[in-house]
Amino acid sequence: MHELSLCRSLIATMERQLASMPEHAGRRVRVLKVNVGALSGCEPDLLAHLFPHASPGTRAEGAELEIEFQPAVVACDDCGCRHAVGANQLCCPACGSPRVALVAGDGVFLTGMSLCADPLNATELAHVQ
Amino acid sequence: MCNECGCGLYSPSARPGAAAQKPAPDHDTVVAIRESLYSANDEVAAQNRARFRQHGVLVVNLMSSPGAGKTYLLEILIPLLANHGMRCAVIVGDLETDNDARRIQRTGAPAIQITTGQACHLDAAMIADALMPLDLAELDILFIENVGNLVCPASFDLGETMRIALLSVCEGDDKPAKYPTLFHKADLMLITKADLLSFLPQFSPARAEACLRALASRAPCLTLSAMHISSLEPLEDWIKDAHAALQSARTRWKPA
Repeated sequence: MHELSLCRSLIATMERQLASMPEHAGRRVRVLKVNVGALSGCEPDLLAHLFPHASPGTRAEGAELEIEFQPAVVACDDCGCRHAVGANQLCCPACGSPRVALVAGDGVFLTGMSLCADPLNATELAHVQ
Repeated sequence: MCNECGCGLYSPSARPGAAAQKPAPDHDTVVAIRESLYSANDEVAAQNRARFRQHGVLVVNLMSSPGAGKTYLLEILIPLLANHGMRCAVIVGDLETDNDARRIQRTGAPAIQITTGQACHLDAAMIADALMPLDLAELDILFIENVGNLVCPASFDLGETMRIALLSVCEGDDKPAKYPTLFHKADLMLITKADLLSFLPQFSPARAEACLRALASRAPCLTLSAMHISSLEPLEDWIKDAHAALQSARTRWKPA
């Protein structure tokens, strides 16, 4: 239900990352890769639907959003195994123990960007800055 | 020529799966990152948490669907805790009205209303702002009554010490299975309005707890009714224990 604010956060995160990479200053973003966990509270379809509404006027305008779904993964303290599990079945599927750590599926992450070789032109730069 | 950037190069192998529709030029620079989209909120939450710890305030984030009885529980619980010398304050979030803050203020505890408009949850920055009029040095417990919603509040760390999920017997007993993110992260589950259980035989507290246990949760599960003060005793004890644990942890962390 807060996917639009996640889109804005995605763009802010992208801008922060780009600002830390002066070697890529002024380059166009072609693809943003996002990893969405099963227990993240984020609906991937809604994120994809809303992204084009959040990106105009930013450097992500026109970029493609690549969403990877991350199932919940638990690591069992008792039997040591690691399993992908259903979001509401988080006990160890091998031994049934509730002594598990949720090691994946609990967040939304920007995991990568693909940047075009061609820089933005002056008009576009003025638009995003 | 590439339709996206006009560069004139194609690389069908750049992105498996999507390559056929939208080939990426092989002179694109691919940068690997891993940054949480909640990181801005988490930074503010960490600042809130540090402030709470500095003053030894136990902060309890109450989350449930609308109408589970969060406000009424606080109206009854705060005077009980005050009898044990616990000074409480409340930050309460709602889309509209300050009705809940006014109800809580009648207990004598400071209550600050956050009206979120259309926002479906509280975030750490809203809490940082709402804290301004509160003197944390004069508090033992700060309750944060989150916006009634079983989805969004779960994803936003506010800097709280503990999370309580409330489930009223008027709801489905399988809510923990339907909303696993919120219930999985709860440190305590309260089954509220238990005085209505005799009218609602379809709600089984045992089934609700089984759904919670399937989330690998070892959080205690208490069944109570704020209409019956004696049923709140285990909750009072839990809060007092959590407060005592916080104080002893603070003592241990103090530099020698």
